[in-house]
Amino acid sequence: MVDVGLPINPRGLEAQMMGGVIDGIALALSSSLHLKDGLPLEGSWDNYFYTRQWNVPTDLRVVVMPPTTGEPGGAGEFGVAAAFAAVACAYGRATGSMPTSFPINHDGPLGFEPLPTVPPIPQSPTDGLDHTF
Amino acid sequence: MPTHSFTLNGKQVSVDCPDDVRLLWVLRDLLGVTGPKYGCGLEVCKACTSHINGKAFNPCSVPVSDIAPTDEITTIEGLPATVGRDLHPMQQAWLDHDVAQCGYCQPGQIMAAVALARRARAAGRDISDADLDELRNICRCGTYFRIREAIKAGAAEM
Repeated sequence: MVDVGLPINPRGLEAQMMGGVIDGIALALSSSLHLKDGLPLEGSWDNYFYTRQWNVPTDLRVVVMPPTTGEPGGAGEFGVAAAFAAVACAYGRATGSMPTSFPINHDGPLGFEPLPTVPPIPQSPTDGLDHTF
Repeated sequence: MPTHSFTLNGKQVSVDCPDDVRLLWVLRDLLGVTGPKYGCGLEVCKACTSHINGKAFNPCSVPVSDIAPTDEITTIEGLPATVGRDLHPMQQAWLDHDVAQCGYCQPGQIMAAVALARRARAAGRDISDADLDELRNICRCGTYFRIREAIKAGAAEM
């Protein structure tokens, strides 16, 4: 539920809040950079573990409050913090141990093989036709 | 310089370029077809998803020499013509559901969605949440929920 004062584009605002929820899920659970010698080990979106389709709630409803003031208050990343906290609390309830550092997976073993940080730059794969669907 | 020929969005095209140039750069830089987006070049973000002979694939990871003269490549630009309309039902569903935010990943999302819908149809069933969970296309705006709604709606009209 979101109160932005005067919503200008309620459908767009809904979408912005949904994006915030998706970001909150990523930030609480899995999405981070590991820095080594000033460089991130993450070399792709796969490594960064941003929310993917299989992490998305199958029921997500956003309620935009009717105008409460005559002025637009802005929305920005309004949805992120509350979603982040809700995911953290849900994780704590589900596992019986409340997480205190985030994302929760950050300190676990790296979930990927880091790409080289010195030349030559890895070439694009060549096996694209093996993965058609 | 080798010549490579294939069907692109219904027309036979030819390009002169080295064998190992990935098809994404042939499409975007040599043929000027920019619907397939460059996101990673590593076959992980799926922003370039297009179709080869009706199946989804990622041209960033296919050397142009792997494409045969008889292969039919379809990008988002050629998708409506596959159903003989101004917009493919999946594109219309995208508009109806206000899916796009920044929009960068959306051509790839739509092409992946169409392939997924065709696959479910061929198996004689509706698109399920398990099907949708297989999509790897990244959307950094986080439009995933509306993507799911739009795919179900678009698939029903296909």
